[in-house]
Amino acid sequence: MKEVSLTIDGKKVKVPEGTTILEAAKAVGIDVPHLCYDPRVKPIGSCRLCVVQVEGQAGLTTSCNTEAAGGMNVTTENEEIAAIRKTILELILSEHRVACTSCDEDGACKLQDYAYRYQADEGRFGLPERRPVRPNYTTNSEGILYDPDKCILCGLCVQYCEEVQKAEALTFAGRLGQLEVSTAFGIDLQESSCVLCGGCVEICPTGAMLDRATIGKGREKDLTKTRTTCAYCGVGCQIDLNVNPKTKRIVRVTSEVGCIPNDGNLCVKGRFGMDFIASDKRLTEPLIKRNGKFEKATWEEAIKFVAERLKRIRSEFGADSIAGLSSAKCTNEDNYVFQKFIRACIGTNNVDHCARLCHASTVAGLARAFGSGAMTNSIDELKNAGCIFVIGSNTTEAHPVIGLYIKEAVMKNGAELIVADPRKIDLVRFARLHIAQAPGTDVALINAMMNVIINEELHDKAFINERTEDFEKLKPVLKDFTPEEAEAITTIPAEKIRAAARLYARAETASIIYSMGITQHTTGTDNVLSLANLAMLTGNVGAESTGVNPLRGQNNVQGACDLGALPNVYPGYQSVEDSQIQAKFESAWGRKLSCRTGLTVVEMMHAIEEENIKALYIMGENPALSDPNLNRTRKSLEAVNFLVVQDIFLSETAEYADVVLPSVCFAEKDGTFTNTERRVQRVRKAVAPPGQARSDWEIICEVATKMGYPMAYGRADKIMDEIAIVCPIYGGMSFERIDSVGLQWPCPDKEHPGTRFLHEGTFKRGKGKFHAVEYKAANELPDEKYPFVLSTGRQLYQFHTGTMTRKSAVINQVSPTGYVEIHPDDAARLEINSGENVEVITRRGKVTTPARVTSGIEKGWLFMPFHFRECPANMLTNDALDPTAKIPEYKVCAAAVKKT
Amino acid sequence: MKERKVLTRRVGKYEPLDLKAYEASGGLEGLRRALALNPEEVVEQIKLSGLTGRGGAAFPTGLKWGSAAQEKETPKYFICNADEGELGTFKDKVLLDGDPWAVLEGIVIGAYAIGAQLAYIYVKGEYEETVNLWEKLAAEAQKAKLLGTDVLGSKFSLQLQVVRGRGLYIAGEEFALISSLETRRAMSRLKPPYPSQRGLFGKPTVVNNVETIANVPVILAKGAEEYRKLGTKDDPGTRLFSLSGDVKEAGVYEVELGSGTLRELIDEFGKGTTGGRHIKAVQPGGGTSALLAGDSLDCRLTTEAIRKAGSSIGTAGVIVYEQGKSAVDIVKGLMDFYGFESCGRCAPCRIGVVRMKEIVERLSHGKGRTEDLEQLRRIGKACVVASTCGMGQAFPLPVLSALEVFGGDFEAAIAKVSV
Repeated sequence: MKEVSLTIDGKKVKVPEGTTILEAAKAVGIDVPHLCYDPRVKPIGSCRLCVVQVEGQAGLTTSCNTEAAGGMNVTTENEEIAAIRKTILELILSEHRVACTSCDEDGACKLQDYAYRYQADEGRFGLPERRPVRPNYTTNSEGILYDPDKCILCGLCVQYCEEVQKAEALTFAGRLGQLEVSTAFGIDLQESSCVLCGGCVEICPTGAMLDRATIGKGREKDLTKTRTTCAYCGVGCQIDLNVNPKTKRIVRVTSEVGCIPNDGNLCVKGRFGMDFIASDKRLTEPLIKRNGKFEKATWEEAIKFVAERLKRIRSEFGADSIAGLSSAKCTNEDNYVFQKFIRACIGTNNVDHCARLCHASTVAGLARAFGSGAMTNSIDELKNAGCIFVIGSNTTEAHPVIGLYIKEAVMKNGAELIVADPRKIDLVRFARLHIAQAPGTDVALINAMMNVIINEELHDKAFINERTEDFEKLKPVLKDFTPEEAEAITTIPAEKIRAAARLYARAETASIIYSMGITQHTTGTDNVLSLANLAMLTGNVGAESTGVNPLRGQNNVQGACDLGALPNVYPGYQSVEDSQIQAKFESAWGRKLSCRTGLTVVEMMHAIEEENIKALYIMGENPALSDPNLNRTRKSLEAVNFLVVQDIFLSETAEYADVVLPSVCFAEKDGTFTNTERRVQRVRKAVAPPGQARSDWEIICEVATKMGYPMAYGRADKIMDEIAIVCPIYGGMSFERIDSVGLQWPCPDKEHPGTRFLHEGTFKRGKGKFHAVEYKAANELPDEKYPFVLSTGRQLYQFHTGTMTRKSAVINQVSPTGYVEIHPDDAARLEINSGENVEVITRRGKVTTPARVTSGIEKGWLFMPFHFRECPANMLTNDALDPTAKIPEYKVCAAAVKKT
Repeated sequence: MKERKVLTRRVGKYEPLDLKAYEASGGLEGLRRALALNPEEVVEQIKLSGLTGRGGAAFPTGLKWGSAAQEKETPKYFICNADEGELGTFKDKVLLDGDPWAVLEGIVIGAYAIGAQLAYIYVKGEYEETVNLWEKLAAEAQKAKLLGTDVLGSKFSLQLQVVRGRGLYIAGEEFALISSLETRRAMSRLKPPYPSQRGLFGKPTVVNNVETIANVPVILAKGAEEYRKLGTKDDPGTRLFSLSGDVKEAGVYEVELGSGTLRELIDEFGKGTTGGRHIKAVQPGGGTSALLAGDSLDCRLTTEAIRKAGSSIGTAGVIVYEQGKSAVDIVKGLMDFYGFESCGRCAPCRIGVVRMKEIVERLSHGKGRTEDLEQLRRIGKACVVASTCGMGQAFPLPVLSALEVFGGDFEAAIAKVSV
C-alpha cells in the first residue's frame, strides 16, 4: 500500500494512503479531541471538535474525514483552535444536563474529559432548562434507557445502528429544540427493528444511552474489566466482564473496538445474556438422589459415590457399558480432561458431545474431501470476498457478528450475496439472489448449479487438474441433472439456479457459508461433500477470502472436537484405530487404551434401550431438550442404571440424574475456547463461583483419582501444556502466547504464527477429492396425514435449551416463548390467526405452541425454534441418522397442524 | 440603470404549458445544439461561459459538471434545486412559473452533459401551484419527446421526477436536499465527498439552482463566447435581483452584472423607501448576508465589489432597511427565522443558532446583559469557522456585521437595562 508522509505538530508521520488526519495523529500519540468519531462508521463530523489547521488551506479542517496527504503540515492545536473548541464544548454543555455526580458514565465520559481539558464552563451560555420527564421509545424497554437530557445529538448511535448493525431502528426525530434520538414514529424499542445488540449504549460518548439494568450498580471507574471469550455461539467474541469489586457482581458487558474477531461489536446474548451467572438458580452443592429426591451432599461423599458406582458397573458389565457426554460449552482443558478420563480411567471410547448434533457431517464430509473438517478461512476475510454463498445458515440470528461482516462485505465492498434458504431470513435484505429450496433438497440444488457451471465452461480446469482427483467420477452424476430437473425437486425456478451458478462461478473470490441447514439431515454428509465439490469445481478454496466455511454453533464446539471428545479420534483428530497413535497415547497417559470406536450421542441413547449402556456421565449437556425425538431420549435417561450430571443448573437432564455435581461457568474459571475460525482464545476468571461449585476438570480429576487413576493439574495452563505435547495441531499453543490475541490452528510449534486459511497450495489430504453424490430424499416426507414439512432451528435471542438466555429479563421481554411459523395461505385454510395456540403433531409427539403467521416461509413448510421447554420442538423431530456422521435429521420431518 | 432581460425575456409572454409558443420564441435551440455536441463539449461550453452558481455559493458550474461527468460510477443524477428558501429571495419562482420550458431545457442539457438518465426537480413546498404546473409540464415534455427514451431523436434517455418539498429551509442545502430525496431527514453531510462524487444514493450527482440552469440554454444557443459579452470579465451574465424590504416597489429585476451600483438598483427600481427615510442598512445577498450600512452602497453589482464592501452577492436577494429601526431589531427578525431552521447535524450551528437567538431576543426586549455582545461574537465566530454547511457558516454574519457597523444600537440596548 502506498504511504504518505506529513508533519503533525512538528512530528514527521508516515501513514498508508487513505488514513485520515485524525488517525494519523493518533498513530503518533496526538489525541485530537472528538465526540462523534468511531472507526467503524463513516465520519459524521457533527461535534466539530476535531478541527485542525492545515498549512495553506483557508479556515479550519475537520480531521475526522480529511485524508492525510503527502507534505501536509498540520497544527492540531493553537490558541484559536483551543478557543473554538472551548466555545463548542460550552455550547454543548448548555444543552446537556450536567449530572456527573449520579451518572454511570462519570469517569468514562468524553464530554467530561474534554470539558476538563479545555476548562469549559458549563454555565457560560446558561444552564439547560429542566424538562419534565416524559416517556420515550425506551421507557418500556428492559434493555436500554435513553435520556434525552444527556444526549448531545452526536449521531453515533444512529449511524452505528444503520451502518454497522444495519437494524435501522434509530433515527433523529423532532425539529430544532426538540431534536432527539428515537425510533421511527417513536414506537417502543422492543417493537422496532432493534436487535438489542447494545451497540448504541457502548458507542454513546456520554451517559445518554444506558444499559438499564446496570444503572447505579457501579460507575466505569468503580469497575474492573476482565477480558474473556463469550460463552454463546462459535464466533468467539472478545468481551470485557465489568465487575464491581465491592459487590463482586458482573455489572455489564463491554467490548473493545479493534479486538479480534468482533471489533467491539456484540449481539444481544453477549451483551444482555449474562444474568445467568449470578442467578439464584445456580447449583451450589453436590446432590445425590435418594428415594427419588435430591439430597445435599458433601463433595467427598459425592465423589466417593460416583467413583464407586462407576467402578462397580465397569467390573460387572465392562468399560464399554459406560459412556460420557463431554461439552461444547466447556473449555478445551475441561474437554481434554474429560475424554482422557473416559479413555484412560474408564477404558472406553464411548465419548461424544453435541457436535454430533450439529457438525458431525462437516467433520466427516470435509475431512474426506479436503482432509480437514473446519472453516477454511478466517472471519475477517469475509469482508473482502467477491461473492458470498450462504446456504442453510441464518447467520444474522445464529452468528450475529459474522452476519455483520457479511453485511459489510455487501454494503461497503460490493460483494454479491446469494442466499439459499427455505425461509426469507434477514440476510435476504442484502442478497442479490434468494433461492428458497424445499427443505432437504440441497444436493439437487448444488448438483444443478454444477451442471450449469460445466455446461457453460465456468469451471476452473487448471485447479481441477493440478489440485484434485476423481473429477471424472463426478461428471456422470451431473451430466443430465439440469436446472429444470432440480426445479421439480427444489421448487426453485431453473433460471434462478442458473443465475446463482453464474454469480458464484464468475466471482474472483467466493466464500461458501453454511451451517445446520446443510448438516442436520440424513444426507448431511452428502450435502457437505456437494459443497466441497462446488468449491473445487470452481477453484474456490485454498486462498484468501475463498473457501468453504461451516459456522460452528457453540462457543467451544470446535475445541471439543479438536480435543478428542469424539468416539473415533484422540485429540487432534488422531484415529483410535491407528495402533501407532494408540501406542503414543498409551505411553503419554500410562494406561492400556481401547482400539474400538465408541458410540455417538444418539447411539448411546439407543444403546441404553438395548441395555448395552448402564452408566452415563454427562458434563454440561442437556439432551433431555436438545436431542431429537425427546420421548425416546427421556425414556433412556430414565432407564439408564446410573446417571451423573455435572452442570451449572438443575437442567431438564439433571432432573433424571442419580448424582448432580455443581460446576462453575465460563466467568468463574480460566481456560481456553476455540472459535469457529480455529482461533484458540483465553477464558478468564472474573468472579468467584457460587457456593461450593468447582471447575469441571477439577471434579473429573477427583473422580478419576478416586477410581484409581490419579489426575491432577493444579492450573488450567498446565493442561494446555500437556495438550501441546500430544495434539500436533495445538503444538505451539500456550496461555502465554495467546494472552492478548488468540492463535489459529494448525500451529505445530512455538514459533509458528498460526494459520489464517487452510489448503493453500495443497490440501491437507494431498489432493482434493471429488465425490459423486446423488440426490436422496429426506427420511420422512409429507403425506396425507402429515402434510407439512417441519424444520427446526435457532432464533436470535435465545440460545439452545435456554438454560442461560432464559434467565435474562431483557431477552425474555422480546422472546418470551416459542412459536411455529406458518405461511398466511396455510393459516387461512386452517383458520389460524397469528398468536393463537396450535397443536403441531408428528409421528413422535405433539406440542402446543402459538402460531406466527408470516410470508417469510413458503407454503407447506413450518419452522419452530427449539429453545423452549414449554413447547419443545424436539418432541417432534426425527431421530433418523445420517449413515456416516450419525447426525439426526432435525431439519426435515412430516408434520400436521391443528387449531386447539 | 436598465433592466437587461435575458432569462426573463419570455416571462409573461406565453402560456406556461404552450411549448409551441416557447419554440416560436427561440426555445429548444440550446438543447438542439447541445444534442449535436458530445457531452464533453457541452461541459466545455459551460466551463468557457464562466457561469457560476446562482443559489448563493457562486461555485463554477462547469467545474461541478466536469467533476460529475468524469466519475465512473453510474447511474448519475441531475437535480434542479427549486427549494427557494433564503430570506428575501423569490427570483426562481419567476422563472419556474414564467418560463418553465427554459428551465426544463436546461435540465435536459445538464443531464445529457453529465450522463444522467434520471433528473429531479425539488420544488419548495409552499409553491404549490408551481408544483402542479411542473407535473403537467413533465407530462407534456414526455409527449413532446423532450423527456423519455429518445430525447428529440438523439438516443439520449431521461426521466424527470417532480418532488414537492415539505417546508424545511435547510432542504435547500444540497446535501440536505439529497437526504430528503432519499426519504431521510433533510440533514447536511460532511464534505468531501462532494455530491458530484457521492451524492444521491451514493452516486455522482449535480445539484444546480433554477436560475443557474436557466442560463444553460442561453449559453448553448448563443455559444459561450457570445454569452460572455454579457456582464464583466469575472462575472459574466445577468443576475435576477429580488428587491424587498422597505422599498416602494419590491420585485425581481434582471440586470447585467457590473452594470450599475447597489444604490442605483435600490433607488431606480425600488423607487425609494416606504417611509421616505434614508436607508439604514442593506443585505445584498439574502438573509444570511452581512449588513451594509446605508453609506456603503456605492459598490458595483459584481461579486468582488460587494465582497470588498463587506458583504456578499449570495442569492442576490436585496433586503432594504430604512432608518428608524434598531439594528438589534433587524437581526432579531432574522434570528426569529434561522433560530428554528438548523438541521441539527453539527453542534455549533444546532446550538449556536438557538443561543444567539435567545441573546438577540433579550437584547431586543431590553433585558440584555453586559457579556451578551462578547458572547454573540464568540458563538458567531465558532459557527462561522466550524459549522458543516453553508447555513451554520453564514447565519451569524448579519449579527456579526451588525455588531461591527451598528455597535451603538447594541450598546444602547444594554444601557437601557442599566438605567
